[in-house]
Amino acid sequence: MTRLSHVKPGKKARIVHMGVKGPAGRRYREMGMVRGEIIRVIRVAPLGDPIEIELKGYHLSLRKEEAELIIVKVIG
Amino acid sequence: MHGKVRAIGAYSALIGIAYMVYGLIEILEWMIGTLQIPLSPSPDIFAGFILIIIGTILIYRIGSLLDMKYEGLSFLFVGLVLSAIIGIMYILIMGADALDALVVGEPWNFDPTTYNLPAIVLFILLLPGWLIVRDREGFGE
Amino acid sequence: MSRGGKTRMAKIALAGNPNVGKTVIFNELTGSRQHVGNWPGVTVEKKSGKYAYRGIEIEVIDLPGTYSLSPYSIDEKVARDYIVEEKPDAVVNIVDASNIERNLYLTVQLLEAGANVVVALNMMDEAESKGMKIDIGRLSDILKVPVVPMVAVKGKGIGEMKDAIYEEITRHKEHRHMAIGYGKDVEKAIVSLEEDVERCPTLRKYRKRWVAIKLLEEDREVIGKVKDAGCVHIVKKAENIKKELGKKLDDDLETYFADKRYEFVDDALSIVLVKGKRVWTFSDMLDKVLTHKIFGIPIFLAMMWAAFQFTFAVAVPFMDAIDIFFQWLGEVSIPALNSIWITDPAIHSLVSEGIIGGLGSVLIFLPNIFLLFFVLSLMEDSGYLSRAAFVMDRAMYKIGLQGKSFVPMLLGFGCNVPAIMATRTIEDRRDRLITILVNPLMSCSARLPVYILFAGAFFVGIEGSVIFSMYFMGILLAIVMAVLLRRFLFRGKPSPLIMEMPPYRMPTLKSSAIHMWEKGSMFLKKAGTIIFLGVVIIWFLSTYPGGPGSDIETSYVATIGHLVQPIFAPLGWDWKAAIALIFGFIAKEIVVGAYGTFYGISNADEESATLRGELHNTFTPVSAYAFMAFVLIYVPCLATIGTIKSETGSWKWTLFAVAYMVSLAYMVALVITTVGHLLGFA
Repeated sequence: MTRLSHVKPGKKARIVHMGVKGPAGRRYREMGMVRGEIIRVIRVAPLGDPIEIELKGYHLSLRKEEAELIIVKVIG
Repeated sequence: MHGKVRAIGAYSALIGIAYMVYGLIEILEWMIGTLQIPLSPSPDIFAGFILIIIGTILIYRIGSLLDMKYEGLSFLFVGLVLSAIIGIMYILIMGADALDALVVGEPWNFDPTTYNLPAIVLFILLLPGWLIVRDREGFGE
Repeated sequence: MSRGGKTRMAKIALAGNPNVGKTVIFNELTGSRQHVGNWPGVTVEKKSGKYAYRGIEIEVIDLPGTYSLSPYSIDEKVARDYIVEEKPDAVVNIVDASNIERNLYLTVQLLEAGANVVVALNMMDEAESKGMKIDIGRLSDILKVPVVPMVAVKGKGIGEMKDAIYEEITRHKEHRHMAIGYGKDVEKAIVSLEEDVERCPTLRKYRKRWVAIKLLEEDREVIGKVKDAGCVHIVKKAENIKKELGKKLDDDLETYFADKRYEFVDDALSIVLVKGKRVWTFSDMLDKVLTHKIFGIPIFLAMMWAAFQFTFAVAVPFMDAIDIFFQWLGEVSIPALNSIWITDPAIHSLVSEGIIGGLGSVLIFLPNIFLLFFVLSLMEDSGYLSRAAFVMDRAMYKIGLQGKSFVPMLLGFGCNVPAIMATRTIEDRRDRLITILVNPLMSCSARLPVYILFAGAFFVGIEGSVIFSMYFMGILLAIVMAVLLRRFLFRGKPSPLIMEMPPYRMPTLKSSAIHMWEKGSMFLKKAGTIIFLGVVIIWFLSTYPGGPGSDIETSYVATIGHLVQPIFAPLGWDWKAAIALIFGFIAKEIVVGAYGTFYGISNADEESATLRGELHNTFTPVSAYAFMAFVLIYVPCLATIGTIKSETGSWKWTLFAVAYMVSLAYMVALVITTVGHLLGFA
């Protein structure tokens, strides 16, 4: 288990725990970041932050600060 | 398909080099003044910089393109898109200038150095590249 | 169905996520019969239109694009209130078929709220090219609503949609029973709350199951509604139930509901959707390079440069045409007034110099504003705007802003009006306010003539560097102000980034043109009043008490100039400079014209050698540089002030913006003067 911010581009991972709280946490949930969801890290922005991920067939970007709070299990 | 990709790929790399050369010339002209060079490039540092970017993108992953990989195709595709945006932009600017001459009621004096002819000509010369992007047969990871 | 006389009337609403082609469908349905305004009390754009179909006059409301129906952003609140309070006859839920997994979350929420949903499954072509197969009949069975496949950009499915809408609004409204099962324990709680809701008379207009679920989700809006209805006991009961359930479920209820909704969507899609193999799409190919480690930023800068190049070059013929038009209008206005027996010279002067001349000097920038909107719309519709934000977010975050602030800041170099309107893409109000407040510091194109005039007069040989230093100073001050505002007025961090990166799409000329027209005319309507008032006031002050034709040195403006001149004395400026700055409130390029008037030089422009010579009598290089800096920083123009007012919806922030910019301008000018003198410059 690791933090989403540590997952290398190209890797897939399953969400184990959504640690983002408050309105942002709610927004992530509505965007499909729920426990058990499988996501793929696509790339890191040129300046090192934010990151782009793929889930539910679409692309989403979020900062490492929030990705840090999302616990995932890398599955290949 | 592979043969076609090879031929057109090599061709667009050549155009890429032409983009870089003209980009460098435009920056040079901006620094030291207009030179007598075919296609009368504009002495414009920003335009020169953009031509260099387009050229670099066109040749950056040429090997990968010739190996029929999507990565290489991506660079060709973006090179084509940027070339089209810049080329069309200069054509529109030329049109706007001609229109302005009409509005103000003065004759339009065509000064090639303000319209960046290299950007327009190279855009047109690069058009065959779209053939590979359109077909995209035989490409893989 | 609304009542009414002969023609039958109906109301429908369009709801959907952002980037699903909602606007295209709206345009296809309503054609040119559109109206753009604001939702009451908020600065969210409200678009409505009309069309007639089989004898029914149908009013279409375009709801803001939202990912969800929870009321946590203004957009969502507006959309939800409309659906549950106004109860439109049908809600057309536009779903991006290629992104159906996430899109159906909103659908589920709409159905829960009891809306009469018709699903428009748009972008079927994209879904197909991704290899997706969707069983539309079964999807319709599961959701218990009509589902119409569409490719709206190609006009496919519009006719079928109109039919489906017609069926829906003429359908006999019995309750539809689509409901997600939330598990035994929660269902029991919902049923028990439903009974209470039913007994509360004023809540009957809402679907009772929805109210019950929202109470359990602790939705503050719905809790407020229930309390207002005088049924506080239900809220209390819900709280108790929540506590019990929380223990049993080992999860907070909000997460639980979201999970269950997605579970429902996943289950439904496991039946109706066959996913394709992962293929390289054009979008993937573009992103590979456009957000590339090395090329991402250079390409972005190149695109912005091209945007400006295009805007300003293409605007020229239109600006010249406007100029010629207003000159002609000014000339013919006096004979025209005479011909209707209005011979009062005061009115002649008001009309030809005040109104026509004043408006002309502001409206000359319309082509720039319109074209910038056009370019912005191309960037937005193509999907590139979110990539730009992605690429620049890190840098902007460092100064307390966020990625989406960057494009508005850049647009500011063209014109602050579209730049400030472009901040609408920033959802967080605080992030947006900071972006608006520092935007005028980006030196817009109208300030350039002033720099050219003064740099040419006082800094021969280094004009370029001096002018560049103005732009640089603006950027520096914007960064400093952003940091300060974040530090003192908007404490905390920028809002977390949760941004969809939609697939790239070919923007259409039609939709970009419509977008440009809407935004441009909205600016005219909104800022128009303020601009009009402004030019009339300035005309009055510069014409009276002497009346038309009198010397400007005897006017109120001159009086004011002399009055405020002592304030500017430490900066070494005379009363003419003070007046020029007052005129500059209307628009910056008037500053040059005003100087021309003072020295009696007709048709003075920024290149005029005589004007430059005259300036040497009243300015030194140091005071000229200070003056240029002041022009850079203090309020850009009336149009910008009008835009700040209409975009923030608050006079308080508008006045704050004016006040801080004027004082900052004064401070900077003072520092320049002092340091200049200390260094021994004259």
